[in-house]
Amino acid sequence: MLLLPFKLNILRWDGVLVKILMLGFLLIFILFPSSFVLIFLFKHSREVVGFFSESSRIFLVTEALVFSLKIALTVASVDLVFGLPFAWLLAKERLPASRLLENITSLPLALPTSALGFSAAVFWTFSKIPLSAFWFLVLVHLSFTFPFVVGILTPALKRGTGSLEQAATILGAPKLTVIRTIVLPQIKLELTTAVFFSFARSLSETGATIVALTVFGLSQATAPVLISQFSNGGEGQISYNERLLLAALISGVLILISLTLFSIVQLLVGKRSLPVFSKLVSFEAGMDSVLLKRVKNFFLFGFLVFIILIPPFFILNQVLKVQTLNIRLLMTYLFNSLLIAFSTILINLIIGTPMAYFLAHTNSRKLKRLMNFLVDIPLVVPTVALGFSLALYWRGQTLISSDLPLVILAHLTFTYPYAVRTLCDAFTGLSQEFIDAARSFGASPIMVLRSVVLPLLSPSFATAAVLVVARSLGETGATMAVSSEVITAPVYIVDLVNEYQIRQAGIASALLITLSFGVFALLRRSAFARR
Amino acid sequence: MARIVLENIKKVFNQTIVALDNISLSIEDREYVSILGTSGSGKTTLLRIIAGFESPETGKVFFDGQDVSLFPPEKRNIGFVFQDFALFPHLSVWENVAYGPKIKGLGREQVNAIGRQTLEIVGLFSRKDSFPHELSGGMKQRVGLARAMASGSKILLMDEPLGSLDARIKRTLKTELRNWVKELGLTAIHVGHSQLEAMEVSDRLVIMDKGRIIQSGPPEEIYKNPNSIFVADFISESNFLTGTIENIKNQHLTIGICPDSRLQSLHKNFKLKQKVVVSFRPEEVKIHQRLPNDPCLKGSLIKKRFLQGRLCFTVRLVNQQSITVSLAPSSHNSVCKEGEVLYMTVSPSRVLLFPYPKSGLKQALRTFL
Repeated sequence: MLLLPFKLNILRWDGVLVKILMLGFLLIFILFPSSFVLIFLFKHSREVVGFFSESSRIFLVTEALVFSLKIALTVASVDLVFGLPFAWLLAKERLPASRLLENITSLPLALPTSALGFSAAVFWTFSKIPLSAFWFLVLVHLSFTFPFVVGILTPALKRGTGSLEQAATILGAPKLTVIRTIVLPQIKLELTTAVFFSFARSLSETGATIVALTVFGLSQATAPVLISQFSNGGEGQISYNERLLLAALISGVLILISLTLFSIVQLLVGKRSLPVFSKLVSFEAGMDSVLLKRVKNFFLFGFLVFIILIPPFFILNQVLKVQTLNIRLLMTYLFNSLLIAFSTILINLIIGTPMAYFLAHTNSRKLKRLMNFLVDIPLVVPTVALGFSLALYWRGQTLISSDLPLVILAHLTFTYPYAVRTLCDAFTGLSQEFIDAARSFGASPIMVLRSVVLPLLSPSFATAAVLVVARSLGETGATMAVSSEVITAPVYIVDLVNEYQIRQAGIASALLITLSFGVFALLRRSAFARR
Repeated sequence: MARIVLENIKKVFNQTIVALDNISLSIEDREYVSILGTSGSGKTTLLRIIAGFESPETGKVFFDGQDVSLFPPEKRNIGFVFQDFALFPHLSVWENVAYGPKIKGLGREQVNAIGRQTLEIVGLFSRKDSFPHELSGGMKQRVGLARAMASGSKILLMDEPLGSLDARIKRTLKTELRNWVKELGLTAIHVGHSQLEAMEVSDRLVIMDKGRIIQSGPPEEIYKNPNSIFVADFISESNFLTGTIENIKNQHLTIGICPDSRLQSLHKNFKLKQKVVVSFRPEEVKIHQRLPNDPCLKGSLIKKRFLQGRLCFTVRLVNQQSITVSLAPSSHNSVCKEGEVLYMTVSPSRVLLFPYPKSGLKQALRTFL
């Protein structure tokens, strides 16, 4: 019974009807389509076994899966090793321009991954460093996973653990011991989410991978690349149905791996923390020197500049050659991207708000934990597998016949957790005292809504919008897995690269990076202005 | 041994706000000192400098003669109790208390012995497996204290340790706190807001205002002989009246407040006709319904309240200055009615005199509001 103003609505925000709608939406539009491919595989298990009796096919699938998993694990590990100290630097050390640095680090978030992948591929080709396909893809993926990891860990570290750190310090713990024994256990949820998120993003990345591999002239295929190749049929030695089975199997395995790992991690997160390990303390005390700190900071900033910041913007000069590009075509695809992104955010805010409110105010710890787990599933399921599963599910229904709503539904699914998480934080932070205070001064329910609730929540709505739009605009894999007809701006770049129109792809990427950055900056600015 | 000496400590925030202005203070071994002051007086900053959480611009901190000014907090070997408890939420009561000994590399047997001893002192050994969220506020602070004691330090710093507790728990814990400190032979510094609490538990009070130490001494001495209007008003409720010295005879000063109202005091160093501020505690006033022989104040009773077992009168003098009178209820006092004219006397030894402040009395008192 938090907000009296909300009772003005016919549907009360904490009413049973809203709860049923909210859970129904979660099941029908988010969870069921995400895992439908598993049911599909189960139903067609005999055909799957028959199809894979040929060893070359098993080899193709396992090789791609192992390659993808190795990349994703390496990316997540590197993100953890560099991301945690970097987030610490932003959150805890009094850097002169930490706010600016935080904004710069988040820049790659705004960029479509295929454009970013193109730029990064050109950079690493230009660098003349002899890289294997594996390390090349790791470096490309790091460009877009690292900002997410830092973005999740920095606010978590900024959260008030100050007095706990002081308490541990006063009890004689060196700085590193304080971090290991006190700070990390406090942020273990965010830490596992960040690492897992990095793993899932890398595991599912399609656009950047296709573009980068083609530009670098490599023939290896990752699991998502195979899904996007096979999900829409196409021509080749194997039949349409066999291609579908192949895509379904890879998608199913990716979803299973992600869900299993996520469940294990979630279960472990609730367990007790590690003991103090007294013998490590003297080692950690020895590491607490000014020289080592400088060396660490040198490597951190080097990593940020050369691995994260320069590669995505390396081809920006190509934007000057924009006259040689078919601008009208690009604008059409860009319009598609924007239409999808804004439809996604609109629907997400409408359907995500009740869930966010529910998560913020439910008293049952177990239910809260379960619902949090369910809401986070689309975050960790590889988007390309999710897109394929979703297309498989909805194409079986007669409700939706054209491709555009399907693409919007796919984008809705993987951006849903972003909207819910952000709004849930906002509701948690909105103190009932503000509303009580306004009401005690005689404000009517509508006045309370207008003068207290909306001004307090609007920055969070804006932040949710920025996150969802940025994520939707950048997505390639899910869009390609759902439809071959709906072409968005990032998909257009992949198409150009696939047609070996590398120069055109470069110009389009540069233009898209500039535009995305502009939109992102504008949205962020308006979000902060409202604050 | 744990003697703390602060030498000329100065701390400035944002290059303009002087939080501590040349503080020098010496705290003896096993002494329990409370630092009191209004918000922003610098008391918490001083405690944080002693702990090593803040560094002073100038000045030094000595523990037992050793300069620890450049030592980080973890090297100072102190126990610290936080207002918000700061118990590690992911660790059990036992693990919280054992954290310090483990960090210091003590063996398992020693850790067990210290953990058990300190938890038994605070009466929470039976809750050793509980987690902080399963404890009440009072229990949490007991664990906080046990954790600080288990660190093995002889110096205990406490930042408003009773601030987050309700009145009933506060009453019990403050007595226990002093007992534990004395039993273990600790040197304790207690920063707080409550003057009554500080007077009850401390060997010495240090009163701070605007980054300076205004007065330091045993609670009784400060209560009876505050050295300024600020301390007199801060330490306990007082009446303040303006008057002029009318007569000086055998160290007895007669101060005229207004027509029909004068008081006597025993102070030295005041001149005839000097404008002064007269101060006395509400409980030092005696009420008379007829004019007494001694110099007295005359006023009419404008408000009568019953407060914490005592009768509380507000009396207005002829010149419109008001005073508060606190009396033990008696048949004599209880019959007084609002509007009635009363005569009031105060023992000369209980009447304090201060030179009239240049900025005026109202301005001098406004700083504590």
